[in-house]
Amino acid sequence: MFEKIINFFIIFFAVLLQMSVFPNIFFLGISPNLAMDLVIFWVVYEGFEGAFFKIILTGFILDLVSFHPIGINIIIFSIIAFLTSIFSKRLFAFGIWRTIILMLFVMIGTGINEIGTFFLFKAIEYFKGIKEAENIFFILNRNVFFSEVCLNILFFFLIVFLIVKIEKFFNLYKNKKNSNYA
Amino acid sequence: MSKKYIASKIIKLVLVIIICLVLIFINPKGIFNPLRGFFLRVSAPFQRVFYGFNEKIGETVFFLGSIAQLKTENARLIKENDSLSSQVANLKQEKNENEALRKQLDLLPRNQFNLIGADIIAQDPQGMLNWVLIDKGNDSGIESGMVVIVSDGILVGKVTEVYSHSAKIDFLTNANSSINVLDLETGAKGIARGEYGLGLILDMVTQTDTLNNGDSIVTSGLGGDVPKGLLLGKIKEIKLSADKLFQGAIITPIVKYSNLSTLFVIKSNK
Repeated sequence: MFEKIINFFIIFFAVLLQMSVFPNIFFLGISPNLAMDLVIFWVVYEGFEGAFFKIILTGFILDLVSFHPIGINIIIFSIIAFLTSIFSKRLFAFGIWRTIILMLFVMIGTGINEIGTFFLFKAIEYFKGIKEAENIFFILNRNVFFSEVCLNILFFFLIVFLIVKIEKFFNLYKNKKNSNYA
Repeated sequence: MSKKYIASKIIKLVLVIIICLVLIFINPKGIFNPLRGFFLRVSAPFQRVFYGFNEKIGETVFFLGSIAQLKTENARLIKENDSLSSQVANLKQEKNENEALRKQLDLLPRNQFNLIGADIIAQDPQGMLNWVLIDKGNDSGIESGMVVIVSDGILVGKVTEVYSHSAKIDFLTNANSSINVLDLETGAKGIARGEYGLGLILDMVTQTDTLNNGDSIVTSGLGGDVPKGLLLGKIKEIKLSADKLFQGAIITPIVKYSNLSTLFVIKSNK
């Protein structure tokens, strides 16, 4: 229960940072997606099954606060988590490439997040007439993907560092068996 | 990894996707609003603190970044000051003309509204400032559809969703935004639309109407949901529509949306 409360607060503050702090510090809509970084971290750390509830919760809270129709980020995070879990099991066999593989996961996750959000909003626009996709079309059109990937990678490792510290402080996750992350 | 294990993951993923698609496309958007409202209420104090803190960081970063440019900026400002001094005289005359035009077009004076001041506490993280969240909601008398301005009657957007202690404001630059406007100088009427969260496009102006670069664009009051005479911006560039039936123009907003921290919601006319 205690672990769940801590995790809830981690998600809560990550989403608030993403919504209230980053948009003004970073420009042109390029800001790190902390929620996605958290999802990738948890999947790598605990596996798809172990992190399943947290993935859903993260997507749900982000949908709530970012005024998206509920479900958009849940779908995208679930897909990212699924692919990460499938490939992390196989690729982490090559131990020395772990950091590069993690960076690759974040890069692919960023791509799935941008493209997935765009197409889901396009579908909403088609079926419900609500124009949201145009609002993010600019981001896809401009060559800013690289900057976003760099920021996400940077913040991913920052999150890894912070959560491992929190984990040590509260002595969480000590018996996780699915962990891929050393 | 066993096939059975992967299959169970795929089943879970497919189930999540189906449930979410049902939620997105079938479920009415409003069903989660009470929960969203509760969550926003809980998070509002944190967001206010974070956003305030964030503004200070932004100012510091901007200040540090601008130190290197101070010398050239100073020279440029001295030059600009000389040029502005001569423009002031011209503007005084234009102001009188503007007032006369406003009277002719029966536009509301910009200071005759009951306003509710509110601070921005969050903004669209994904797009280009399509919307912001303010720290006032139902409890302050804010309702969906109310018009949002800054300072001296400059229109910036509309209230689209209201919760007990917060409200979502869609900026004019939002792709969903469209508003009836007119050219203050020539009286040409058209529709201003948002474009990718970046700027405003004036559209549907007939060929017989006149548009000039630098003209002020204000709300026309057609439709009745937005008061007349709120300033949107100035015409930057005139162009024809794709079918060449209408004229259009790029409008430069008067205020930089990314610099806003306080907004005013128009509750009613005085």
